[in-house]
Amino acid sequence: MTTATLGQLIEKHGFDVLDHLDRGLEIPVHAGLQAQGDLFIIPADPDRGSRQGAAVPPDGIAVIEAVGGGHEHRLFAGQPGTAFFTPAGAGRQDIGFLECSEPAYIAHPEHAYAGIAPGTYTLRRQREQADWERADEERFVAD
Amino acid sequence: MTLPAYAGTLTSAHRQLINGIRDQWAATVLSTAPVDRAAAVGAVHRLYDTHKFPRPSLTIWMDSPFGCIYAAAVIGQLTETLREQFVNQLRRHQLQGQLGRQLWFRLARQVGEQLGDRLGDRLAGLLSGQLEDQLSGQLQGRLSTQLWGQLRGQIKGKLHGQLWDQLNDRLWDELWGQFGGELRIRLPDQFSEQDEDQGWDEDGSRGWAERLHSVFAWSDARALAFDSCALLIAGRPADPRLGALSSVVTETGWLIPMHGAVIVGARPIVLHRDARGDLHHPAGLAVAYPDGWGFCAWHGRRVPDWVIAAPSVEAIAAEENVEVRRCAIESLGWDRFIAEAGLVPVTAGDSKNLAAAHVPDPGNPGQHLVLYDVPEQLWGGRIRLLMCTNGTPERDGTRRRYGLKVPAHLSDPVEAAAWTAGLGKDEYARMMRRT
Repeated sequence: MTTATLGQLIEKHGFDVLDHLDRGLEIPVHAGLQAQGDLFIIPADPDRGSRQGAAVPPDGIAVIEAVGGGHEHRLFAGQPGTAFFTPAGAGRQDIGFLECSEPAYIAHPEHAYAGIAPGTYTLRRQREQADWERADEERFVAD
Repeated sequence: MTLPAYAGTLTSAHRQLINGIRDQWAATVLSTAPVDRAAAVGAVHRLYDTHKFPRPSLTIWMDSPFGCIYAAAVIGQLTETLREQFVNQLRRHQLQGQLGRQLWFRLARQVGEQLGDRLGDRLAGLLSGQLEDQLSGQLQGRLSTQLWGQLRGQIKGKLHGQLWDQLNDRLWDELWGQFGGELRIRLPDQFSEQDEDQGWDEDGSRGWAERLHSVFAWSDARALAFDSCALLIAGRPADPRLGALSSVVTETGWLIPMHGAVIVGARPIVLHRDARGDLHHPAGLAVAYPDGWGFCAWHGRRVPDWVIAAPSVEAIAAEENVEVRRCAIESLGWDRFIAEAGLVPVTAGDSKNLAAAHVPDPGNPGQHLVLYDVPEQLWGGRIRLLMCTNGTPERDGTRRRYGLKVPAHLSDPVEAAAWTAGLGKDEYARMMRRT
């Protein structure tokens, strides 16, 4: 199986990245742990929980929203109907559960694309120690 | 659209209604458009008309909240102010009376949740803090001259001759001393920035906006949004006084209504926020008004100008307020902070091998992780800093470095990185690719 290049993925999914990133770059597809900026793609136990996720539509799903001048991380199915995403619920470090039977991709303007092999994954935000009041309080990193 | 009858819980039609009203008010809260004076005057007239008060003969335009309060201090001893009637009495007695306490409080909870906390709630507290600092101190000469200049032209010839003669030659300090106390613009001793409670309680709002006799979106949008929703959901007729108040808050940046006079303020010309929606600007005033009044903010905290303009380890060490210190450290940037504070990387055990402190970043070939102790006396608590390098190059080919705060008990950089991902060290070490 040939690896897609950044340019091919941009054309296929319609999600552009910053212009200084090399369009000829091959985007590897991994089954193991990955990170894209402040987003972690964590291999998950296939048997965990119920998978009631909605199919990822052709124009993708924002798994981390762009807020106030930031960028979004957007999830795309490699082929239509091959990726399913179950959101974890607001205000948690876990964003949701991804299942794909074909490679899926997550795109971000600054970090290009991340290729995700068929499998099951937890998508999770990066956290840091928050400053205010509680010692155990966390803040989620905004890219 | 006819709403379904309210039977104790909100339906999706109710939520849709609330969201529409919320979004309209959210836009008003964030507006930096210039005030349309004709529309503002029309809205003010309507406000007075609905209460059957004579329209004010004197309208004063000031370019900032501080300017409005200054103007009120100068002329306010002349006459009673009207926020109590226009806002508090309307809400507490009329609207609450119409719905009945039980329904009011149930809706307060349900509608309140749906409205969220983006209707000026977090903004008003910072602005009030800035006003408090300035009003409780001596006004700087240049600012008082500027404000007096702006006010004087508008009230000259409009005030009774004797009073005008008295005002004309006075300096701010004398004016404040004479009028400030009488106007009862006095902020309470136990005032705090967190005291934003607009009061669903019986006593109603004891907010600082009330004490300043002022009506404006950051203070009042949430209550006005709630009132509109509550009346609609409860199936009560629209109240023209509520409509007039909503209109005037939408058309002005600030309002101090009085008998016979009204002070109208501009909206901010800039309003900068971060990704979370908190007031924030790393390079200048986070909020600024047309007369230059404003203040700096860092991720939702009001900070003195030096935090933005000239942060330094020296200034940080001299700052008493721990929250300001932390904002200043972030504003300075971790790279510069590490260099200027002379921080030494955390090394495992007793090893002084600094090279060993730079640990390869899993999945990020050629890049390293380093862990630092942040001096407790500067941070005001125990914390460590994980310095990371971006997995993707910048436009100029360099890699951006950034810092993540991690718990102080972590002494291994990879373990600290794993903590940020909620993973164990071994799992994190198997990272395939970090972009």
